[in-house]
Amino acid sequence: MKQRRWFFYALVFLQLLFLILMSVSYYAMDLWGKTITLKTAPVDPRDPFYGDYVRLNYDIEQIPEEKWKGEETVDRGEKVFLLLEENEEGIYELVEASTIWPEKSDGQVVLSSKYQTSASALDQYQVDIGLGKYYIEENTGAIWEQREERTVEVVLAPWKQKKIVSLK
Amino acid sequence: MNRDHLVKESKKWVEEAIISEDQREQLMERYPKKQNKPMLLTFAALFIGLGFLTFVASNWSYLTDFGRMAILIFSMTAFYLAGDWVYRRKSNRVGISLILVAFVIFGSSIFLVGQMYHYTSFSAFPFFLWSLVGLGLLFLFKDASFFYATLIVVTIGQFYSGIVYQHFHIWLGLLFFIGLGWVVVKSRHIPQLSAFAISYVVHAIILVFSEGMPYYWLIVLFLLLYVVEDFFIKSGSLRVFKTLSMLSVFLMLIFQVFFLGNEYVGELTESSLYFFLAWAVLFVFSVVRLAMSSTNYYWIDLLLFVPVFRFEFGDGLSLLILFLYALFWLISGYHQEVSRWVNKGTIAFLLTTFIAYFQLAWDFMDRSLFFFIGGVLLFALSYFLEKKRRTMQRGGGEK
Repeated sequence: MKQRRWFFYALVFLQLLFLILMSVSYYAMDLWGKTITLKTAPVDPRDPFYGDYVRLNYDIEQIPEEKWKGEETVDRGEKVFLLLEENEEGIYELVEASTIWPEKSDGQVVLSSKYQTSASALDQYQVDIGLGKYYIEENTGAIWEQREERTVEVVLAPWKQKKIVSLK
Repeated sequence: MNRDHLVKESKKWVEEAIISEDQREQLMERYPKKQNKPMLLTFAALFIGLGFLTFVASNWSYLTDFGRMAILIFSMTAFYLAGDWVYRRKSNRVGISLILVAFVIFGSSIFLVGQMYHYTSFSAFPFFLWSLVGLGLLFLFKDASFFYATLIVVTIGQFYSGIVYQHFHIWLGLLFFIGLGWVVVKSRHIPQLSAFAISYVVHAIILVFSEGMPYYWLIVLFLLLYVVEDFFIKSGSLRVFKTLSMLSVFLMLIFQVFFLGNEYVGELTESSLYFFLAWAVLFVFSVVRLAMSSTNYYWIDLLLFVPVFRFEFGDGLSLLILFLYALFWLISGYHQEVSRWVNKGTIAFLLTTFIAYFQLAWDFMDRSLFFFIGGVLLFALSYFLEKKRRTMQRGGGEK
């Protein structure tokens, strides 16, 4: 009976730990993460607002065929690594995309993403870097709606987590 | 007899020297105190939990992230600890309900915290974590409510995974088959078995459709459910898995009647070698088992598992199988005078007739005439079947 109680406390503790880690790692990213700026393409004009979040469509999520270094056929949901480099305007752009972890030189960063589809007509591959939704306060959607292109500041943590810092 | 009543009465019996005090105690032992389940208290705990959650939800946007975290963590811990305390000291039932509330708070916290900190998940992993906790609570407290709670989380998580990510979440699947499967096989509790079997059917459908497998794999998966029950159910007990398996495969055959006639099915039926291998193993196994068992009537069930999609006239064959199934049950029901079988055959026969009629007459008949004739047909059919059933039941009663 005593043992059962300790298992129970351990189980509760693990749940607490998980929730707290979710929170702490978010703040810890500001300390140890690297901030990069990404450009987003115009969002789907029909309905950019799904409730209280903005849909973001990053330029780097569309991979032209010449930058694709991965296998020809990839399953949906498979990991794709994007090698990014900063351009003169301070915006990170895609160097190449691969299904294996790429070698990076100074000034380059690697971002992991999930494979979505390939649009063969456009010679493009589509991936999702998992930052497509940005929750905003309710009823502030109209402010964002008018601007079509924007840049997004993203923090990359050494433990492969990433988050949006701000929309500009 | 009512225990309270007996307590009063037996006192008199002892006083009047009808029975001795020892005998009275023996009698009382025969009527143990019923475990009083304080349903009201359970609901009270649930309502307090819900009231708290709705209060938090309605004020959510006014809170800072820190305040939100504090509320979630505090409420979850408070409900867990209070639940544990009440469980040990006062009432098991109320303690379990409080812990259930905490369990729900944990699950919603994963999603709320994820939303607060812009987490995006690529899979049903949050559901997996949630159900893992549920399974842990189930093993600690051995209470059926945690079984159902976990089963619901797993099933919804798998459903979510199938719809949103077009992916069968393998870990959720393993947790379901191994974790909950083990629990259900050990308890053999009929409501739990049925809930498990329903969830199994949902899992099978999600697996087949989200992973792009041809639909006929469902036959194998349903047959597996049918076969697997033999391993842990003693003969003569209720056939829970088998019943649900039969219901599922019956419905699937109805779909076959409507869709196998279409041309696109041709491409679906390619590369079915592995299917036939898996199917043959299970089918042969169940035939052998049937041959060894004493009741030989259940071979009729196996009819429905015969795959006919390879044939060009698969829709017609599906219909034929359904008719044979219904007829064989009717005939053996009358023959053996088992009214349960007759009822089963009757329902199956009526449904099949209706489907056949729908399939054959819908295209070239006037709509109102279609329903009118169909109604009359069913009326006549049910009249004859019911009459036959009654005479049989009367005959069985006289015996």
